[in-house]
Amino acid sequence: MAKAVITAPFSAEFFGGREDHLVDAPTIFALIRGLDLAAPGFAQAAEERAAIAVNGVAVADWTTRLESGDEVLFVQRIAGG
Amino acid sequence: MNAPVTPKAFKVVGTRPVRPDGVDKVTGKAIYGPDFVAPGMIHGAILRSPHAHAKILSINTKKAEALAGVKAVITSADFPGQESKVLAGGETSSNQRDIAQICMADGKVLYAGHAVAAVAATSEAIARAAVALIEVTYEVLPHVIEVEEAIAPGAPLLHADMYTKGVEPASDQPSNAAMCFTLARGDADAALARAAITVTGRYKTPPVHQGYIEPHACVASWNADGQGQMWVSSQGAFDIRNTTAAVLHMPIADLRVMPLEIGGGFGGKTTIYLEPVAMLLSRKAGRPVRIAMNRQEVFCGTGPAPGSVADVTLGSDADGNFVGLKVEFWSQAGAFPGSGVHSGVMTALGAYTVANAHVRGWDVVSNIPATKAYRAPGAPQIAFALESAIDDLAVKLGMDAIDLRLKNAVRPGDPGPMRLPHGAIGYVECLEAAKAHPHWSAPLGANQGRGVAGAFWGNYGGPSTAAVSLSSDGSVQVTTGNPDIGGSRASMAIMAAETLDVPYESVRVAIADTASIGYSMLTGGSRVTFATGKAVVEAAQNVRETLVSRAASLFGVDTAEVEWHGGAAHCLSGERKGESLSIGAIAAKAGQFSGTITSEVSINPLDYLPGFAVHICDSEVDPETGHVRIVRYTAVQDVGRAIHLDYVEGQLQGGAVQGIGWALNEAYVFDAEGRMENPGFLDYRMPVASDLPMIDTVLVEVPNPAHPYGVKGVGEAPIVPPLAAVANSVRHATGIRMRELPLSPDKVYAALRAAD
Amino acid sequence: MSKIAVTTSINGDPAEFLCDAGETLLDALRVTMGLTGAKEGCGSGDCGACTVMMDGEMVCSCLVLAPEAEGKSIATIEGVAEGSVLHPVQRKFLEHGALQCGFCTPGFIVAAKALIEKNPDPSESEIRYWLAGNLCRCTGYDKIVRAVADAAAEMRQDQNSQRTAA
Repeated sequence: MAKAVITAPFSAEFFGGREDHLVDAPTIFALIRGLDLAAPGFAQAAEERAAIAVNGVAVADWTTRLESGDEVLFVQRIAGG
Repeated sequence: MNAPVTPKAFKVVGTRPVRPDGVDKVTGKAIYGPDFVAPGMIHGAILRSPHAHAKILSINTKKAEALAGVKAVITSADFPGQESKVLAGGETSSNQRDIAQICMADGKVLYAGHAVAAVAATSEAIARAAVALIEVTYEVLPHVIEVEEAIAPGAPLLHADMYTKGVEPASDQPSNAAMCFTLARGDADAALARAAITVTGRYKTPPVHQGYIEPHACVASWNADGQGQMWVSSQGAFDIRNTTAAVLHMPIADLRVMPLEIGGGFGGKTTIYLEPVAMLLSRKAGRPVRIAMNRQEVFCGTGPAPGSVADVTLGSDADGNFVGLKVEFWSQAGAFPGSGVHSGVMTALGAYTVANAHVRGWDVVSNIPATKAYRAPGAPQIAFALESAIDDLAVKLGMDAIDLRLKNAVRPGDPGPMRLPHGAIGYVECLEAAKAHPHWSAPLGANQGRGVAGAFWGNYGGPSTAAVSLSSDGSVQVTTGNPDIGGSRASMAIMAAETLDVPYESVRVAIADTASIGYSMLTGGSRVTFATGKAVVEAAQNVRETLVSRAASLFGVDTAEVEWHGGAAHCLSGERKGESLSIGAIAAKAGQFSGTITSEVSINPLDYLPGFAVHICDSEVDPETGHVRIVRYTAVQDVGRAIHLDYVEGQLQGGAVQGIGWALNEAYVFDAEGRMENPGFLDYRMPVASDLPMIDTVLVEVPNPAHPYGVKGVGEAPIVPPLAAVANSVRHATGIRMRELPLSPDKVYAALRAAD
Repeated sequence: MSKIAVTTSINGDPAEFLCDAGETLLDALRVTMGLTGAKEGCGSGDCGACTVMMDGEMVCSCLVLAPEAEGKSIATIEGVAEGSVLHPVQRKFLEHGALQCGFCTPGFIVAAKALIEKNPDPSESEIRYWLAGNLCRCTGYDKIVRAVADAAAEMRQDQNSQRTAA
């Protein structure tokens, strides 16, 4: 099981404020599909607005393999000039 | 002290070679946005709204169309219908409908300067004359400029269908507050109630413009078969292409964008204004069309950085350990949502450890031009408030302002603002370097004061493509898709030369158009030397591996028996032991192998690290006039590792001076009708050479382990500290805490008299 | 509207062009003559990107009417290098990294060359005030001031050695 940590604003928008979610998923793709089943629209929001980090390191590639106990953090993507 | 602190063992990295595009730029040959000419080109002009907020009742273009020489007239009716759809572009996303409406008002104008119609004609003079013949009937609506007014009950609404996102419970009333974003940890209220010392204040900054000297310009040619070309100076030809194609409902591959040299951007050239307009005019006229803005159009029609209002309360224990922070701020987004609220919120939590914090930012629309990214978007405004508050706290504690920051500075492993733990960051090293700098302990003259301020900026990575190709003589061609806005060709050449161990001069760098290489995200977010640099190094490593493998075949040995150095392969064993083959000798033998040696690499690195900076400012306040003169300035920054010293120092110096302008002089001023009163460089006063001292730089190098040469982004962090560094120096000189920018002579004079 | 014929000299060569009465010298140079080295940053004489020399005087070509060039001698950035040999000011801008985007650079180089011709040994303060009419948004001016001072020093040294040789 990987642990998804969904921070604001996604936690409020999709999960009633709940941040921690245990999901059985071998990749980030699978994890997001699982979360999207629970909260339709989350996958699209993640694609458009989220930055994702696995165990504290930001990753772009959703095919990244997840091990049991990995923590996958979803945070707001930010802008630059 | 223009030298890095850490010594290093590179041949080219960390030196100061002449940039490859230099001669073109000192001889006037380089072709910028307004310089490009297409055969048969005609000229466009845009009609802009005189009203800050009005309904468009009718637009009559008949007289304009009848003028001799006019080839096309367009309004929003010529744009394809836009759905509300988020476009991924750059680091953040924008709504396609908003972008289209910034290019051409649809039904309503939202700021004085909003585009309403456009003309293409055989000369610029005819185009301008035709624009004057377009008759627009407006129903003027009440307007709102300042954020406090925009969020007041009963304020005129810009968008009837806009409801505040991010509030609980969801709002059922439309509002000018587009969104709010909160980061919270611990219990800020309780911690502040218990704090031994607290400081508090409301800080304000006005909208300021990026102030690039080159006005926006583009040439577009859109053919009857649907294919089009554009020649544009922008921060990213690919994103300009994608956004324009989306707005015009074109297949992206039908549009090819040729990047021209860019005359400054600072975030302001990350979006489109003229491009779809020129495309539509070209399609209608059957000719290439150029549109070029004048300076007034740049000020009134393109995005400045948002103004801000910020309430800050910071508390510490008696020893100066921060215990609680509360920040509430409102960002003046302009006509459409999307100002740098997220990064502003992050900035408040980026540089210091504070267990209890509540930071909330609001994105508020009002009737000024839609704001756009400006170098570390959202960060300078919040750092102004926070770093001023820290200065006040140091005074109350009787502590050295750098020591107080050192006590609370984030260190590697500490949680970052978004909870990700900080990697190999160098804020502490920056603070220590600032403290050790002779500037910090130098004596001050009469009426002078010294201020210090720190900064965090997140930086970015993201998608980049680079190609490295060998010519048959062994000279090296590097190609990227990132416009060179401040010497990046030189940095790319340095990294390729270092990797291949060849002379810098044997590497040449081109910026490809959108049809000639894979996608790269725009030049911004302090990302190019990091992300595109990483792609260049990876491609150069691939080329080097191929060279070694081919040399092994030519020597008749295993690749393990070939060593690469000095731009040549050296044979370590066998009959030809001791022999070498130069890069040129191997490249010339391409016919015996699977073709020429080339590698194109597309990557999407997100293992960037944030930038940290510390600036020290000495100012002198004239007690008779309130004029503030900067007399000494030092910029310290963790740059990871400097690839080209001059252009890294240049980023620190340029960012510092833009921040000094923001602190002392620059501001959008609006009249009662909501029109900008100072849309020119005479009245919008940017710093000139005689306003400034030398800007000393200290490059602290704490390398990023995720980059082959340790690069961290450097472009944005240096604009974050100056606002507070200047204000803190004025506080030190006068004893007066000024919380509203700019610190122009009239304001400082009034504050001095009030304190008398 | 009939055009005005202007006979002038540009970078030492005879030149003729037609212009409207209200046209700027900058537009005549950039559009008619194809000399796009001088830039328009403001059109109001505030940024100096359009700086050229007219009869030895530094002018903002956006504030000069094209017909005023009649009988005058105009010098632009395109004429600063002698053939392919860069002027010391141009070389020093490159050696000091005194440009980032490069858009303001032609104006700065024309102005700096004029300064050194007038004052071969300018102080930092004199350089800063002379160049106060030229806006640069990228560099913060530090490296520009150093490049100009260094170019002046090199040109003084060259003159001294020429004198010694003579």
